[in-house]
Amino acid sequence: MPDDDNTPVLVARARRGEAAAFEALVRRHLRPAYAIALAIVTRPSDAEDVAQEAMMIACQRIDTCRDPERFSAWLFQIVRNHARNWLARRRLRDVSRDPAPPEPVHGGPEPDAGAFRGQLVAALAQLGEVEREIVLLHDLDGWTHPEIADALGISVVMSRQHLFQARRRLRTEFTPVAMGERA
Amino acid sequence: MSDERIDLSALDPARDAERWERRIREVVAGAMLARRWTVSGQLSSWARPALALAAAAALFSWVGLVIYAAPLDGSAAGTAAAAQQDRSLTLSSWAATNEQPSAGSLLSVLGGE
Repeated sequence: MPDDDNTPVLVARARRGEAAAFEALVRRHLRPAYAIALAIVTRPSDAEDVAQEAMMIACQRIDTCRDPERFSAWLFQIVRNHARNWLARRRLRDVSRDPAPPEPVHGGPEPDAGAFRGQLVAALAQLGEVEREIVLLHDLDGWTHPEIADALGISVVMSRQHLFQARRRLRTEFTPVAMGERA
Repeated sequence: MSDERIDLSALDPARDAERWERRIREVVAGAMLARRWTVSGQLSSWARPALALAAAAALFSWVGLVIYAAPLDGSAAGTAAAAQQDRSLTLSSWAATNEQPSAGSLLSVLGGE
């Protein structure tokens, strides 16, 4: 899912301007980029916009990716920077206006999907940024601990510890309905 | 327990597959557009110095021509040009016929005494 043997090849092809290579990179990395953005901006719709824009920036600057084997780590740094800028602008905007309206729910079949999602977002907001990144990459995007550790520049043990803490805190913050017993 | 996966699918942006697909297409299209801009930008960034260099070379040649041609009046310049042409023709004919010129002829053609 994240960087594998094929990623440097895709980066090289993208540098030559091959649309198929760009598409493969975007398909593979847009969702993890969203996870990282969500860990910072904490609003799903904002995170989608941030991920999209950051992915676009990464594609434009792909020639500056020095280590294509660690494309994810490089992309995540762009996403983090973009998300922090976004957050700063949003804070200014929110001060001058009313608080943001409730998040729209896309593709949620249940009538209470919006409320459920809101509770989940609120519970995630109680975690630290790194914990959010790890729990989202692992439980939303299916990354393994070695993959997370490599992309975030931490040890596998730290990744496991952060995930353990994040899950424990989420279970404390949130109703049991959400924690795996809902699906 | 804490080692069980938490269901975060409510936050999955790909749940609305059509919308997510549209986002992917927008990023790819934007990337390709930006890439074209970058390529043309790189070309223009190379073209500008190349043009400047060519202009400078042209200017130097023109200045050189003016400096060296200035002392000659019209007829002298014509004579010099004709002599230069003769020299070129002689050298070309030697090269074409494989003829070995004498030292005197060579000096004479190349402007020696």
